[in-house]
Amino acid sequence: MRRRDFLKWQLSGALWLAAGAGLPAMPSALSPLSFLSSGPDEALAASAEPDIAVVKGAPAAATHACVGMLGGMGRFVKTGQKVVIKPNMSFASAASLGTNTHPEVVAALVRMCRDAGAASVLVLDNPLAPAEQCIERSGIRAACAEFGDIVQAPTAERFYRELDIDGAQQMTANTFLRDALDADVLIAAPTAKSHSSTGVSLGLKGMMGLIRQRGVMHSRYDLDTAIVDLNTRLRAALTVIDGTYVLTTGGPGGPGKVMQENTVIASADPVAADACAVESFEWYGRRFAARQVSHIRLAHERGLGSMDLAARTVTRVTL
Amino acid sequence: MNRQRARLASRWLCLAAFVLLAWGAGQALPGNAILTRDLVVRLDPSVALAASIAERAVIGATVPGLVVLALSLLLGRAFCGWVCPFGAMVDAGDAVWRRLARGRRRRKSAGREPGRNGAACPSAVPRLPKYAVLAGVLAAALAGLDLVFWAAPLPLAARFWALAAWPPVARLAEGALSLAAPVARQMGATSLAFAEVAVPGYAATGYIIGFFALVLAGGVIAPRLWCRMLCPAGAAMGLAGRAAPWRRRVEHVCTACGACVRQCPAGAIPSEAPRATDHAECLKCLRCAAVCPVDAVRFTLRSAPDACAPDVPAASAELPPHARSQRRALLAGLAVGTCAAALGHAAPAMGRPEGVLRPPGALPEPDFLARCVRCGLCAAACPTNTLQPAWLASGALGMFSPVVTPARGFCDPACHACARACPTTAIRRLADERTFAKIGTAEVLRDHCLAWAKKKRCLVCDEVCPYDAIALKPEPGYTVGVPHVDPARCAGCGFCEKHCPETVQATGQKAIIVRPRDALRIASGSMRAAAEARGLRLVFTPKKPGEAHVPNSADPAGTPVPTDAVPYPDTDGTQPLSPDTEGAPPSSGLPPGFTE
Repeated sequence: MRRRDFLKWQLSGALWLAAGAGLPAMPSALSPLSFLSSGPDEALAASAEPDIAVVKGAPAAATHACVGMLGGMGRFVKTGQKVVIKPNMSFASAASLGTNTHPEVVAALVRMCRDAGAASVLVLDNPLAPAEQCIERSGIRAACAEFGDIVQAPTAERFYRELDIDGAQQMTANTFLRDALDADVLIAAPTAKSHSSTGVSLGLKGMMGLIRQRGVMHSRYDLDTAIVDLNTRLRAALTVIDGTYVLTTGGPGGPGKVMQENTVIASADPVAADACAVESFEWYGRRFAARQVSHIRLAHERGLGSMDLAARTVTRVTL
Repeated sequence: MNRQRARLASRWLCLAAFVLLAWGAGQALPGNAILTRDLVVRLDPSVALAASIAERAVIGATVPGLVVLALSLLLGRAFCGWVCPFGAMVDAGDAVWRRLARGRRRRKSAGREPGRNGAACPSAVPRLPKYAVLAGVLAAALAGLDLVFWAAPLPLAARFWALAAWPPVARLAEGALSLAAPVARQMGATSLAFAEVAVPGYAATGYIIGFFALVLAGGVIAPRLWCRMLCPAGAAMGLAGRAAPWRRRVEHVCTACGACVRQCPAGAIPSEAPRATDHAECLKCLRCAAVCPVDAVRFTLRSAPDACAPDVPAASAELPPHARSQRRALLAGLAVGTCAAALGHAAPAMGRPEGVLRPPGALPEPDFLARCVRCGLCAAACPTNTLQPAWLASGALGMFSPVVTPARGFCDPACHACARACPTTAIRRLADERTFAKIGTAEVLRDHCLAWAKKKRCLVCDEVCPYDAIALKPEPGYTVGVPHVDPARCAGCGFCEKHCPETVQATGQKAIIVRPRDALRIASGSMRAAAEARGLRLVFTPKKPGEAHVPNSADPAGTPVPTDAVPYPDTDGTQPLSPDTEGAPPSSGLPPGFTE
């Protein structure tokens, strides 16, 4: 997608918002948006964003629209900042199997960050499967090729730094990817998938891809508590959940039942984004409330965000 | 002089190619199937001879070594002078010693005459031991025992470069990369900033380095000491090349000045008769031709018409006592080799009685030990560093043979790099049947297991098992599920042992360990058929280590699950197993990870 297309998408997002009242999928919580039709773009960025944007459409377009509805990437990324995007690319398989983030979603995010003036954008994950294969077969490297070699899967020790997690309930330390710690802005870009230990694997769970010692989270600690501990240290400024292909069973590795939902969910609140994804899709053939996923509930209880979707503004748009 | 330059170029090119291949440079080339790690190792005639004799068959992979041997009928020991990377290393060591010695002499006696040309007296080196080594190795091979790994030059060199030299080089490269990373990042060269080189570690590198230090220290005594005294490949090619037509021929213009005698690194020119040549010793390095002040030395296929008439007769007239003792050495070696083989067969194999974990596809143990030349290339090729040269674990005769050490790394069922690196196919290439090559069986040490011994809720072994061979089951008196291994499903890949979080303090072992029990070791035929004949149900379902994936028969897109593959009797197979919930009180039929 070129810059012009991007602007077009941003514009279309704004237009959709402006014409929001006419949208079929809109929830009733429209009141804060209603003044938008007259307000300039600045006003839109300032205060009018919904808490959660849910857009149905092609991956790149939906991603652009989502972030646009939240106020544009400029709300999250300032000129000269270092950005790290954390997708799911831990498996050597194509996006359509539901285990990895759709490459076009990742590429769209990179483009928006660049356009917002980011000094550097890196797409990083720590796959335990052979790194090269993951980067290659996920299609993410190819999708981001025009931005340089920004897609990396570092495994060597020197890329990680031991760090205490202050205020952790169980996991008081781990070794973190240095770039994730040094980044000014961290963007979680997970795919929506089930997980046989934690119910679902979304933005909060995905932060495990930015540390080195994952085994202890399974063995030494309670996994759900450790995920919350981890997220107290690694806080995503923006969570963009790719629900293009949702792996509704058999996650995180698949194979499992993949449902093509063509949905992208974005929020500045990582707990709200995850909660919305849990409630937007079907898992194992049925519906769940966000509180039924332990690590999301624990994150909510510890104040990392809110899973209480009824109290948040959720804007749903279909492109 | 041109030919000298050509020879040096050939030497260094061969050494460089050998080292680069041993370091896996061939793998870096896309779609490359010819430039394997073991390519140059296969040229070793002693390896080819011993492995073929021990196996009583011509092993396809070692044919190049037999070709080299056949060529020596024509060219003598030209391989030693022009190709052998081990020889190049010895030469390089000699050059260093020579330079040191020259420096010392210059410092000591500035006034005294320079004297001899650095090289020690060539005739001082006993040349017979190498025939004894060759005879011993072949006698042992005849008795079904391969001892060639103690002395065959190319496997030794491969072991040095792949196992001893590579880790420090890799570490240096890592260091350089970490220094370059900040600069690269500044310049926007992201891929350089994130480039990394895995640094493996290997057992027995101390021995390997010590051995090579000794070999190279031989240069203090005489040049090419190893090649002249001990090398069985050199002995084999020397014997074959005694009558090689391409040889040193001296024309009459020779003044018997002795310049060639002093230059010959092999001591192949008797000082009392510079026109004669010991063709079994001559390395065809052509130095004698290069230094001859009257240009009397030729290396040709046919003797020139004006050649010294007494040349060949004189040479052979001088050599008989030598040849006699050669025969004696051969006989002595034969006897020693036979004894060693007998001892080796009879003596208790100092290793573990249960055996060791061999790489997947390894031949049955006796055949495996007979074929394996201990070059270490399989260990070098192993991406998880689980393959290690054994020290004494597999007995005195199994030294340096490869063993799988799951505590260090799992043996990836999707990988068979070791087989591709094996120069003698001691590890069979299994193509699409690799996942059926069971190397052992995991065993839970119940006295140490977190679940069994400490009643902790640990599920890692079950989670990581790519063969779904481990189940957490309820046991009386336990509130947590405890791991059980299904031997029929376990392939011994070692994911469980590698990832087990519990280490027994006293022994350093994990609380679940893979033992070589029931390993599938067949010399021929289908691995899959063999597995099925033994009632094994090896179903490999790859997944990310540390994360659970359980086959779900409700999946439309899932892998086909055989009817008998309902994971365990205590589940109905329609719901995916949850490591978190199984064994725990069942929670109202919710899918894994969800709560009420």
